[in-house]
Amino acid sequence: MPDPKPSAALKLARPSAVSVIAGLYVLQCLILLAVGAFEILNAGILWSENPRAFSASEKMQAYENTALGIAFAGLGLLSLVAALGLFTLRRWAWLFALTLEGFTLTVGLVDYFGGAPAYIEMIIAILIVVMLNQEDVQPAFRIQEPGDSLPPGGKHV
Amino acid sequence: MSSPMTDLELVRRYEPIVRYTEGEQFFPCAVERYVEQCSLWAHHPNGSEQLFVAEGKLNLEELAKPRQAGFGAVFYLKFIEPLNLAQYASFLLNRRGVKALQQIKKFRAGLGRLARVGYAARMMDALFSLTLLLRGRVPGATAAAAALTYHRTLKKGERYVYYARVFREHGWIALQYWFFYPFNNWRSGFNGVNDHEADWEMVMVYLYEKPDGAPAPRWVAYASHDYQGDDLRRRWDDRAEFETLDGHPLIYAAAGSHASYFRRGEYLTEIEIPYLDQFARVLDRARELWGRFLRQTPSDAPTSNVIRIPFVDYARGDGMSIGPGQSKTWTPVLLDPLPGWASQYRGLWGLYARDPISGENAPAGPLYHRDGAMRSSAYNPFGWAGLDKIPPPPAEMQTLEASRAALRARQTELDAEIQTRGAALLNMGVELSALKGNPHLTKLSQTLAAQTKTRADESKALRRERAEGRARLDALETRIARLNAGEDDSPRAHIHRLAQPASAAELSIGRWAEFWAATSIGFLLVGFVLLLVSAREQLLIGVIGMTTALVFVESVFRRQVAELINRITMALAIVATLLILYDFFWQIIVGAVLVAGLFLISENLRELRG
Repeated sequence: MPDPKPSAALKLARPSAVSVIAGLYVLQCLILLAVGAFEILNAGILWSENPRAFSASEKMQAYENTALGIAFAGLGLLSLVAALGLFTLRRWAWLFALTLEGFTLTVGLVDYFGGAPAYIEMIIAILIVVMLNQEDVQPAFRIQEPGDSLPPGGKHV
Repeated sequence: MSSPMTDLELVRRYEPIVRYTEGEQFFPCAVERYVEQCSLWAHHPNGSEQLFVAEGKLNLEELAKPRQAGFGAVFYLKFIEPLNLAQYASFLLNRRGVKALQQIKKFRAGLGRLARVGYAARMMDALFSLTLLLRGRVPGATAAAAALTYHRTLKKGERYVYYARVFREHGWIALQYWFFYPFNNWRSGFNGVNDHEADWEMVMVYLYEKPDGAPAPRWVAYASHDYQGDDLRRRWDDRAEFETLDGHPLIYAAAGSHASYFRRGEYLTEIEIPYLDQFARVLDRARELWGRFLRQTPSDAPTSNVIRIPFVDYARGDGMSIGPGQSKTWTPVLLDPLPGWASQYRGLWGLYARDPISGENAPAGPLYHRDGAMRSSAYNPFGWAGLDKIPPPPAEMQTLEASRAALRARQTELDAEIQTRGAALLNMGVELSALKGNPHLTKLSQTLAAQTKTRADESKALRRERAEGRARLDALETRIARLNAGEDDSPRAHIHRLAQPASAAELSIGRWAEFWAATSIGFLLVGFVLLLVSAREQLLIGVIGMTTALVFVESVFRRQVAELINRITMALAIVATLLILYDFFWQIIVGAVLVAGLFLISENLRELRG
């Protein structure tokens, strides 16, 4: 007979930090989808006018808006995938989330040195990275058990 | 009751069997033959070399004669004279012939040492190799020349010698075995740390006398650079960590270095780089604080690993074997009384290569360090392996019972003393209360108050001692009960860190990974030079790109992609944190103070609400 409440067992094993990260990803997903929709909507308005009358810079603007909209929407969907994976403690989700944050931080640092710092995104990414490396988070994803480390050249007895 | 064995009989009864690695070229030999082929020199602090005794005139008696030299001078023997080009060419041509004559099979390293460690350690290794060009070292052809000379000596008469000493203390008998090798060719022969003329290795067997007077082995300890004290020791009955054959301890001697191991295998030894260890400790401490403060998962390897250089000690035990029942047997020499060459000569037993970190300088004799100070194994043979705090098994029960009796007597004394002092303290307290309200007795009251406090402190100390004594008695009782029931401690209870040979899984990295490990740092340096020559303006991006590619390929070979991504992301997070801290320093301080203030207000209000 299947477990009538599988989520109860999962909830017990899920550290609170993981729930917080998943929540942050859902929030990030919503923001990115909204930004993506806004960009695509802008592009749609531009394309709905007479594209043949566009100047080169207007065309470029329309293309940019479309590409940005798709990129943001894509990232939003990826964030949703990460949130779901984290929430259900999938092993791949830990690495997936970390990769996403590595990407976010790289973009954030490039923007920072380019003179357009995105502090909020950087702070959220830092928080997520720190939480993903909490002592009780990695074992929850079966990444590393606490006390695995060994001294150099030998083993503890 | 069996008749007591002489020291020589004891030494022979427990003499070790040493198993070497295929490809080993030097074996334990007699010191007199070696010394007769040496000259005696002194190196003076001003850089000059002084010949004291020329080759052909030196012998053990001559070596033991006292000689004067100024502070900072180093006495040393020179076994192999420097070769000219023609001699070196001749050695290279004859090397194969020598090996054939010595019936030495070619050594195969197997998985290279560089494939067993990370890229950072490999970078340090590359730097270490470059330092050999700058610091003093044993010349390249010396190992080959030493092999030839040693081979000629063997042809005159094959003899494998150990030197033994016997110590007795508190019911223990320590048998100390010294092995002298004419040359250590770990670097030139087996990709190890160093080469040096002369090599002394030592092992100890610890026995106790059973009630019938017969000796029984209990512990063995093999000298090791990486371990000390209790970690050097194995219990005789610990079959998983120590082997015997017909009652003789088995030693697996590492190729070239001759280091002694309890189990056959390939051991990764890490050499600390001088002056960098402090830096590594600071980094490790910072990582520890970061981990503790933010509850981060501990890393597998400390930073100090990164700035150590990895080398492999091959103790495979698949080569020649010397000892009772083996193809070659020992010629024992008992050092009793201690001969002058061992006690009087404090200089080096081979070339002083002027290596400031000493790896290439020859060692001193069995009793001394290179600086002339006495080895602890010579003046403290039991404490050297942590045995000075452990009684032999038959004496343990007696010692425990004596301790228990003494403790019980002390507890009885304490009971009486606490009773007497407690009564006196009560009297003082009563008198002190009576003095209150009498201004003319103020001074007396103050004196009595001070005395009362002193007495109360003394009484408290006695009560504490009695409470601790009870706990100690309980522990002694438990131990006595366990021994009476025939229970023994775990044979490894004393070991904090255990030397482990590489596992089969660690040795199963593929050939491509090994090739990559051996060449990657070299490729990186070549790429750096090419960038410098052809695209200097892209140097930074190029170096970052090449390093990233190197690190990524490495992690793929090691199946550590997840760890790599984590480290990179963590590094990015640290950089971002520092930038944010820099940009918003005062805002963060103000915010932190505000949060602390609000927290205090909330806590105090909660207290008010009750």
